Amino acid sequence: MSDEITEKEIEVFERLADLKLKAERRAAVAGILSVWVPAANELSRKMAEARHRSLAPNVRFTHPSADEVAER
Amino acid sequence: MKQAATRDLHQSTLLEAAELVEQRKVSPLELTDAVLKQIERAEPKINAFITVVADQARAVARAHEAMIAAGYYLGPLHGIPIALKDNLYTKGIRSTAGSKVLGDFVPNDDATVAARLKAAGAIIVGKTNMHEFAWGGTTDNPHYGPTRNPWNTERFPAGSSGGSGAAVAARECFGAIGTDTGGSIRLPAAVNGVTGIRPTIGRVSNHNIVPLAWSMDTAGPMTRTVADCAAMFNVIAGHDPKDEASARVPVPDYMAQLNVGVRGIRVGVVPDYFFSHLQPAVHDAVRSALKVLEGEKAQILDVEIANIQGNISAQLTIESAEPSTYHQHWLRSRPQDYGEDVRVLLEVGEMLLATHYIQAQRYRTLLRHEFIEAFENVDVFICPTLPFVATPVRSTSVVIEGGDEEDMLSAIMQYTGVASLTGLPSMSVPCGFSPDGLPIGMQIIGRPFDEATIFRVGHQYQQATDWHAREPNLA
Repeated sequence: MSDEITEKEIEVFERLADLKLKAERRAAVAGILSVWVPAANELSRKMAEARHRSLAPNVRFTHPSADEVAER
Repeated sequence: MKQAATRDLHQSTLLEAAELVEQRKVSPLELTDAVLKQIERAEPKINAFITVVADQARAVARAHEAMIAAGYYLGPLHGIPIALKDNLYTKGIRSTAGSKVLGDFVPNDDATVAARLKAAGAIIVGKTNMHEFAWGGTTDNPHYGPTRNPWNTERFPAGSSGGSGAAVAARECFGAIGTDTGGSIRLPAAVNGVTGIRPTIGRVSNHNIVPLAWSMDTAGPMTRTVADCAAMFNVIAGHDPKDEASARVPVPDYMAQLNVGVRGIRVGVVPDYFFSHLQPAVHDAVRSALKVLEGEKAQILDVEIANIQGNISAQLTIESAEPSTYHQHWLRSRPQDYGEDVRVLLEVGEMLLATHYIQAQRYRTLLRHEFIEAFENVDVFICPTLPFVATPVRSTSVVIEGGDEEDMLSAIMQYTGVASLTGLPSMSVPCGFSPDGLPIGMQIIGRPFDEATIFRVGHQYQQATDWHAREPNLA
């Protein structure tokens, strides 16, 4: 995926997301994505490196391990 | 109480007011009337509340007065007027989450946090203004008007709990509840000159709180002092079977550990990140605060967190994708009912890839591991709460250094995102003022479920300084 997001590409995303935007909204969405996506891609490249292969997503911290709970 | 005797009632701290109630020198109704009068005075300038329930608050206050007169004293929150952010469900009271979408929503049940505060005898005086659905950091609310900073009403109160922060600073309540996903308690605490804690994820129930991002949402108190904050935290912390993410971890008495001091406490700083790219006044105030703690016999240690860069992107990705999921139906059925800034962020969140989201969640694991490892050598981390002081109301950008304008949303989360992503508890306490009189806050970040040490450090800092005791002039 390229880092540059165009309004034309937003139309494709709209179809994938089943979300119809009016033409005038595409520029605002593309403007933000053009900044966020390069940063997200950079982070993805880092996290895809072999040294991080063992890391699982940490979505919630419901069950802390014993050593993470501070002693009282 | 000497100080309180020379001030109006509403200017007391929560614990000063509690002492007066316990000793029956002041009744809950007198306290409530004092707060409601201050709300009448301040609201035209501040707009911290979406809903004020004056009649209900007075009725509850009378009931508590009778209860206390009969010998039933419930503890430090009994008869104390407080406010709740409007994304907490309150039974019978409109709970809008700062939105038009939920503009007529009157819940049949309370949020667990609200229920626990009520059970402790607290009196709810109203629901505070907020950034729409908590998705933003300015509290420039298109439906209920912007909240303004009591220290300078031309400046913003930050957000998303900007109403709660401003209400506490303006003495419109003795404490308030905020919610914090990416910094929404700590940011308004800092720019309004008050104290606010984001708990460890799982420590405080999120049941019946309108979510922003499920995996990072928390709720916590905002008060004038650390001791007040600990008093409220004592009531709301603890497992809730109604919240599936609620942790089964023992809850200590946070008040009991306040006065232990900081001798021997190891304070970590990450100099390359915590003290780069920030306004000079913020830098100097936090550095001075570290010196104060050093004077109190804490030890300051430089620490490296190898992968701390990248946290803002991870936060934006998660904090976009999750709200866009929650709002998926309304974004299609009622898009015109959202404010423009929130609407575009919800649209953006629909267009990030699943792999972006999962890699951001994996990054959280990486960053958390690095912090947990670092906590073998330090007890807390300290850093600025945000890199700049309050900007003008309605700003969407900010200049931090070099004259370059930066996007507000990314800039404001520079330091708060670290604790949000790692799930660590973190408190903002006042630590100074800019040359133009705007408050500055510092963050104290602790180990998982070790809010007690954060309170201990913050309280000792407030014993050695008086930043938290200063009051904005609303005349």
